[in-house]
Amino acid sequence: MTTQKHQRNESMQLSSLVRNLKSVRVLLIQPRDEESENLYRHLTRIGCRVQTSWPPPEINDADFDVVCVALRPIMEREASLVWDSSKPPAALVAVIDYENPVIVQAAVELNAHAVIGLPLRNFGTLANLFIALKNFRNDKDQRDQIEKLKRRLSGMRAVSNAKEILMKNKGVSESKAYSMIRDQAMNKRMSVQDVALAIINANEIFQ
Amino acid sequence: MDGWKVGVLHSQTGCLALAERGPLNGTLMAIEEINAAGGVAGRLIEPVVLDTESDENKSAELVHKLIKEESINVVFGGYTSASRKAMLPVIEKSDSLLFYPIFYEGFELSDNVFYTGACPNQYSVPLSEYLFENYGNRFYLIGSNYVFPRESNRILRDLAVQNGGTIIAEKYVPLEATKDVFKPIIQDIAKLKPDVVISTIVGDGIMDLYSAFQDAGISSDEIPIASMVTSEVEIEKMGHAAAAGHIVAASYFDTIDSPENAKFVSNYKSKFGQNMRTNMCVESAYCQVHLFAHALNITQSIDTKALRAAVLGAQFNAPQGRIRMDVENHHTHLWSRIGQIEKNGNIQIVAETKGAIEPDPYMIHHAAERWQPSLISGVAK
Repeated sequence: MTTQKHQRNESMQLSSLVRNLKSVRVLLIQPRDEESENLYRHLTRIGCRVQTSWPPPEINDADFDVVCVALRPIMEREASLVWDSSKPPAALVAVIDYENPVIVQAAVELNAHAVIGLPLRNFGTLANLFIALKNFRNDKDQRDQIEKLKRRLSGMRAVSNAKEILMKNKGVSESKAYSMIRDQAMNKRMSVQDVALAIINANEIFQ
Repeated sequence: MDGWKVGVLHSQTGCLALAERGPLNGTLMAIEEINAAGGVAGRLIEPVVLDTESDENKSAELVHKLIKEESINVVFGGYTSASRKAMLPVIEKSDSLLFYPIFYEGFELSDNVFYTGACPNQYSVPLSEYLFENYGNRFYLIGSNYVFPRESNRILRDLAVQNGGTIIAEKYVPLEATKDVFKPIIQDIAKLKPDVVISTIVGDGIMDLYSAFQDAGISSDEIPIASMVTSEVEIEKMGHAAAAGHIVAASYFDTIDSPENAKFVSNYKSKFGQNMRTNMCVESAYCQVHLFAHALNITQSIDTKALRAAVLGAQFNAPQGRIRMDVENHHTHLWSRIGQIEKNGNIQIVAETKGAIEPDPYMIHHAAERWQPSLISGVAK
C-alpha cells in the first residue's frame, strides 16, 4: 500500500467513525451514583445509545460497540466481570477515579482501549471513545489477519508434506506431485489444502 | 477589621467522629495560638467549622456551601481518600485551596491541594526496611477493603520482592468489620506463623484486630503487628495490654523529646483534657494551619494564586521536627519514625530518620536507590 493510499484509507475510517458515533452502542457498567449519571448523560448527549448495568452482565459479541467499566467498584465489591481480554467482545473503556498503580494495573490487565477519569470532565470523553473504537478495531483487524496468515501457513505446510508423501510413495517429481493434488482438488471440488490433509491422514493410517 | 475566613471540615458525628476529632482539635488549637499572638497582619483567623458526618457526599456539599455562601477559598480538612476525592472537583472548579492533613496512598497531585500527611515513601518504605532488618521477611498483610490498604499493600509487596521477602497472605475485611471477621484470619495467622503481620485496618476494626490477637493468645513477642494507621488514639481505646509490644510507623509520636513537642502536647492536654493524646493526624492538622499562616503573613492577601506560591517552599518548626512544603509537588517533607508500644501505652521510638524525607507521591525514585539502611537509624535505648 502506498503512503497516499494508506492516508486516504485512514481518513475514510475516521470519517466513518465520526458518522457512526451517532449510533455507537455503549454499555456502562457502574453502580448508580452521581458520577455514573454524569457519564450516562454526557454519552447520551454526544449521540451514543447507552445502557447501564450493575452488577456486570454477561456480554456477547456484537451486543455493544463500547463497554465502559468502573474498575474500583468491581475490585472493592468483588463483582465478577467476565471479560476475555485476548478476544474482547467490544472496545473497553476503563473508568477510574484513582490513579494508583493497583487500579491502573487492573485497566492494563483488562487490555483497556482507553481510560476515562473521574470526576468526569466532559471534555475528552468523545476523544476517548474514538481512540477506544479505533484501538479495538485495529486489534481485531490484526487478530483476524494473524488468524488468516496462520491458516495459510499451516495450509502451505500441509501441501508440502503431502507432496513429499506422494513423491516417496509414487516416485514422482515435486511438480508432478503438486499437479496430482491440484487435479484431485478440482475433481472433488475441495481446496488444495484439504486434499493435502486427506493425503497426510491416509498416509498416517497406513503406516 | 474583618478576619481571615477559612473553612474547617471534619466529621463530628458518625463512624469517623473519633478519628477526626484529633485533626479537628489540632486545627482549632493552631488557629487559637495564631490569634492569641495577634493573628496575621493584624487580622484574626476566623474558622467556619462544619460537620461532614462521616459521609463523603456531605463533604462535597459542605465544601460547596463554604465556597459559594461564605466566599471562602481556603479549607482545612478531609480524612478518608474518598472525602478528599469528593471535595476535589469543587475545590478545583472554584480555584480554592484545600489543606489535607492525613497520610494517604499517594498518586495524586492537584495544584489546589496541599498534602501535609505522609505518602508511602515516607512510611511504607522505612517501615518495611525496619521490619526486614529486625524481624524477618515473611509478611502477612491485612487491611480494610478499599483503595488505601490495597495500594499500600501493592507497594509493600514490591518492596518485599526487591528484598527477597515473601508475602504469605493478603486479606481484606469490610471497613465496618466486626470482631467475628477477624477470628478465621487470626487462626490462619497462628497456623502460618509469619514474621510480622502488617495491618492497614482503618477505623474501629483496629481495636477489634488487636483484642482478637490478644484473645487468641498470640504474643507480640512471637508475631508483632506493624501498622502505619494505628496511633496513640487507638492505643488508648483498645487498652494498653492489647497494644503492648506491637510496632507503629509515623512521622510523629507524642513521645518525641523536643521543646516544640513538649509545648504542643501540654497545650493539647490542657485544652482538650489530660487523657487526650496527640497523634500524627493532630500534628499534621496543627502544622498545616501554621504553614498557611506563614504564607499569609508574606502575601498579606488570601488570594489563591498568591497564597499557593507562598505556601510552596514554606517551612515550620513542627513538633516532629523541621518540615517543609515541597516547591514542586505540593506534598510535605516529613520525618519518618518507627515505634514500639510499651506496657504503659507509651510509644518508644526505636528508629528515626536524621531529618525530613522528600515526599515522592508517585514513587518515581527506585526504592533501593533511595533507601539505604543508613537513612533510618536505631535510637539508643
